[in-house]
Amino acid sequence: MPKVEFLYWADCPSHERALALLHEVIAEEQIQASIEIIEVKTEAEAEQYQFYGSPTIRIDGGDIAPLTEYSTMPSLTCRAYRRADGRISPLPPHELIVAAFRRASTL
Amino acid sequence: MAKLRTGDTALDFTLPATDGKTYNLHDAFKNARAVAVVFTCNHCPYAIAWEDRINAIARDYAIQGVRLFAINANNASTHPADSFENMAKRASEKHFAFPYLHDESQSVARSYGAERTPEFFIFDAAKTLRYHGAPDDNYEDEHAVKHHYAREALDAILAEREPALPETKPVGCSIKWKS
Repeated sequence: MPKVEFLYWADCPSHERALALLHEVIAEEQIQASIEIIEVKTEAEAEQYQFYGSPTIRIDGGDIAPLTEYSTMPSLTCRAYRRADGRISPLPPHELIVAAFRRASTL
Repeated sequence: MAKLRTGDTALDFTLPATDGKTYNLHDAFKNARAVAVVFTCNHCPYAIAWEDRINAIARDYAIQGVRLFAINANNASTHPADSFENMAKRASEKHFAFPYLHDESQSVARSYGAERTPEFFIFDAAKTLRYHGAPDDNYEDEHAVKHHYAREALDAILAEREPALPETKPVGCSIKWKS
């Protein structure tokens, strides 16, 4: 069973939709997993968790997506994700979450 | 909640822009039928997602006498992507059709009570705030937008009507304040 961590900062509005998306992928892929939800509240915690923005999803310790040029240091901020078409979004793309689970299952 | 409410008068400011000029808000009203002030930034994914649409608003409405100013007030020491140098780079790369102003002291953002990036304040020619809020109702997909709030507000102001929606909830990253 993969270890899934969902880290978020409450001030960034995308976390609820991102968590729903994560649950959706887990259901679609029929993955047995429980999600550890971690609220990052301070800059010190952002540093401690190596949190580059909200939301951040890790599967077995690995981030689901590479950092973009907009996320250069751990910080309480919204995270930028690059979509397949190159556009930037505050939400992790569905296909990135799926790919991360599939990678984790083959390790 | 923004300190400036619809019906209030525009608070004047003078700020430097990435094009090397300095802009004064009240000067902009001399030849404008409406003025839009948008608090935005470089690093925020919401601001980036809406960036091209904001640029399109500036281009599309310039011919109708609308001036648009974008202001970045973020603390660049915690968010280096928002430094003045990086603002200039972004403005050049994206061919911004509006002055991109730097509110380094954050005094303008504080006086307006701006909280998010992006966040619109649209004034009519009499300097009265007629719209405050988000650019539109869908940051993810411009093709799925149902309500183009800022455009609809500008259309109403130019037609000398009250915007149907004078206030919407700004959606985006919080402005990064200096401690």
